[in-house]
Amino acid sequence: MKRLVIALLGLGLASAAHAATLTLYSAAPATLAKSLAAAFEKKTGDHVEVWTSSTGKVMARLAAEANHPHADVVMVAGWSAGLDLAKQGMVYPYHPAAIEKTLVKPAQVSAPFLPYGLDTVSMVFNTKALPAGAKLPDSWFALTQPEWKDRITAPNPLLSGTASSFLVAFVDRYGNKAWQFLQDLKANGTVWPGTNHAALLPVLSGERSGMLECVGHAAVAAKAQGNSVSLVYPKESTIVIPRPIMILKSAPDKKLAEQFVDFAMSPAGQKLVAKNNLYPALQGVPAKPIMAKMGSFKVSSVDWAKLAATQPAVLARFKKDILDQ
Amino acid sequence: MSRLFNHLLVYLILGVLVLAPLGAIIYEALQPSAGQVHGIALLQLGVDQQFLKSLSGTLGMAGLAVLFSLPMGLGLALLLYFVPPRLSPLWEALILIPFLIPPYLTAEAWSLLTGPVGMIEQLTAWQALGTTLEEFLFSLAGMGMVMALHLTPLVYILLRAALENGNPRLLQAARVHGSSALGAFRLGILPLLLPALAAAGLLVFLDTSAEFGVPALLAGYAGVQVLSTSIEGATNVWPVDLPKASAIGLILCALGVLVWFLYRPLVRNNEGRIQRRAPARRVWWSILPISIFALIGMILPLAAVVAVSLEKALSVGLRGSNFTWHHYHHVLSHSSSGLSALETSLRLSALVAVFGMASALLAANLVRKGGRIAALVDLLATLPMAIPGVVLAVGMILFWNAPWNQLPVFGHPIILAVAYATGTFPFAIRYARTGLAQIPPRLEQAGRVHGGSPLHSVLRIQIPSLWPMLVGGATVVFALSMRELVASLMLQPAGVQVISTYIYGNFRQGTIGNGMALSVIGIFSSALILGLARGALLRR
Repeated sequence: MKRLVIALLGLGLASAAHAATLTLYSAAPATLAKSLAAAFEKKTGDHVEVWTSSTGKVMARLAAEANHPHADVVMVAGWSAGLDLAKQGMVYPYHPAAIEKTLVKPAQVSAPFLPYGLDTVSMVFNTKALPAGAKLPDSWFALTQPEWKDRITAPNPLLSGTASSFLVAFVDRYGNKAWQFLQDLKANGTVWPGTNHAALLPVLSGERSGMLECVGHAAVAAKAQGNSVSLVYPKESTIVIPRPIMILKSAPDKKLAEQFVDFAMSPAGQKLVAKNNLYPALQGVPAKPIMAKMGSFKVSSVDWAKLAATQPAVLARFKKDILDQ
Repeated sequence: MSRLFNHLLVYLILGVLVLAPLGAIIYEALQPSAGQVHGIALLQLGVDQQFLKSLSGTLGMAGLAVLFSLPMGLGLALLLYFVPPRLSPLWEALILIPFLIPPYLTAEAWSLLTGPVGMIEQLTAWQALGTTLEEFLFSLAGMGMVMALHLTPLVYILLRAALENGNPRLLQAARVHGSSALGAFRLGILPLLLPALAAAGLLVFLDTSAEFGVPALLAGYAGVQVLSTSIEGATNVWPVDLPKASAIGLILCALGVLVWFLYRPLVRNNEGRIQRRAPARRVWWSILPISIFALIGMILPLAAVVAVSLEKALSVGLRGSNFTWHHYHHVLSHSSSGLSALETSLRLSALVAVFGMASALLAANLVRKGGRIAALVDLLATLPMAIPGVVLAVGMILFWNAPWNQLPVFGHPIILAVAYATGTFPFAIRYARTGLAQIPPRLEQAGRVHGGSPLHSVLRIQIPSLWPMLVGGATVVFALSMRELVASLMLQPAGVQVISTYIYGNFRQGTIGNGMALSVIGIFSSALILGLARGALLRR
């Protein structure tokens, strides 16, 4: 008994001692974080511990662990979430000009960190579960029509980084019209059940017909599995959202963390990004053929610094007015 | 010396497992809510609309679960007592199995069965049925029903025990003196059943109000909120509000403790009395209600789990062309995190089973001596029954992640073992106490008289004679640890996944087929382990 307790304590202390490993916190897709970690381990022999969740939960965990930080490198889905972390002074600046030069145009956004990939949000419909006689809509605003009553889901921007970036940009562009649209959606039976996957699942299983603000990689993955889904880029335009990879100031081994970021930005790392249904940030690494070509859909430009400043207020209002929380 | 050591060890164990997280919660709940400078989060809840909504959601869900599970459990218990079918142990097993399926899995399975293109509508001609069922599932009543399906076996066990404890002659006497069958039931059976019904109702209420997985999966679609998911949200979703999470947690705990104190006196003197009674009349038709219960509580959900684990694309449905072994290949491949999640779960649960039963035996020895300290130890050891997993997790985050706490427990897999040990301690100590009560005091006195030390009497007398109870308790602790979801979700460190968080993560963040494949593997492997342990136990 006594020996067991001592052994247990020993176990705890022993593993705290060899802290030469890198800890990565990442938002979805979990498979990308895990395959990047595995490939990095194989290349360098260094160990990477991975924890994956959604952007909102990654941010919450970083805040909760502020006293005893565990994470070294963080990958989230929304650019504005990354800027918010930087504003809190948690980010160790790492964005070598040598890498920034090699990025595709939409990924060239100035920040104290790099974008490891890009994604978009769109509307996704299960073509087998449309309401009788309904056609695929071409506008965000069509989803408040009676024919879509109780048929639509959306990701919760408190959890999803892309949804929060999109929401803030949408509110910035449409102002009160945006809030009225969200109220109308809510009155029309739209639900915000959780992460992108939580919102997409009822669409795949036919319980709902469609989803708005769906993150591209989840929709493409569902399509690649053979599901009867169709992506619609609305005529009003969508936004392209860079996904930040950041080194935290609290990381004890900055060199190791930089190595990991360099690897994620290298052609080998970017191929994994493409394989996980995101648009690579590096020039010359092609996205999957199943994904819509950049430029084939309408995109509006975004002032990220301005959006990051308004994000907390927009999310707080969304939580109160739309989610009633 | 060794007695003092024993005392200190028990206090240390209970202090770390129970008092530390509870104390941290109480302290935090007395701080101002996030965004407020002054005040106490606990009092600020009184004007919080979301809290009041969640409270009514929890009360509603738990109340409905009681309302659904009591008639089902009562019906099944009466049926198997008065008119059992042939091979009744087999049919009884069918009633008990739904308790072994984690409720979040049943919830997910039913959400796949129902709906306009759910499996029910794919396979049957009743086009409206799936949609109607789905509307029911995604509501407060649906969440209550899923919990009722999971907990009806518990109700059945409690009521069946009450019936077996009754005196069948009372029934005969009432009939002889001219009562109708119903009147005899009212006089001879009902007085015995009422306390058991109340106890079962309270237990269902307690378990449902603490549940996280089912509301986490269904409440978002149902448009309702419950306390457990609010606590998780305030802790795990940015912006974080730990004082508010603690305050809600304290309320949920208080609800649990209240229910628990109402429950305890009802089951205290429930020792079995073996009675002879005329063999019951066996009828064939009693298998019908049992089959219906097994169908909705176990067979359909498990069939859905297996079906989805073999499907390529969810929206294509049950077709030959949609069949794949891919999810199993993926989960079982060497690089898969599914397999390592299963391994971690097995290892942690085994550790907790051994360590938990050993500590429970120590604590039970202390409780047996009687006195005020014994009563306190007993109270602390059984208190986790009333602490929901989500509240325990918040308390553990507050305690182990506090700025002054330098022990490297938070962020290490051992924290999951600590959480499991706390949650399962009441079960462990119940088995240990039942076992100790069976050892005649003379045996130990003889040992001590002949010069054996107390440690000697534990090793040479208690453990050998308690062995069956220890194994029984350890298997229960093991099974409960294997399925624990919410504390694992909130506490799991980087690089560590357990089976429940892998499955839940795949429902929420990834490929549902992979989650279902690991569910199938998990259910069968734990059933196998429990079966083997039980087999080994019976052979002795």
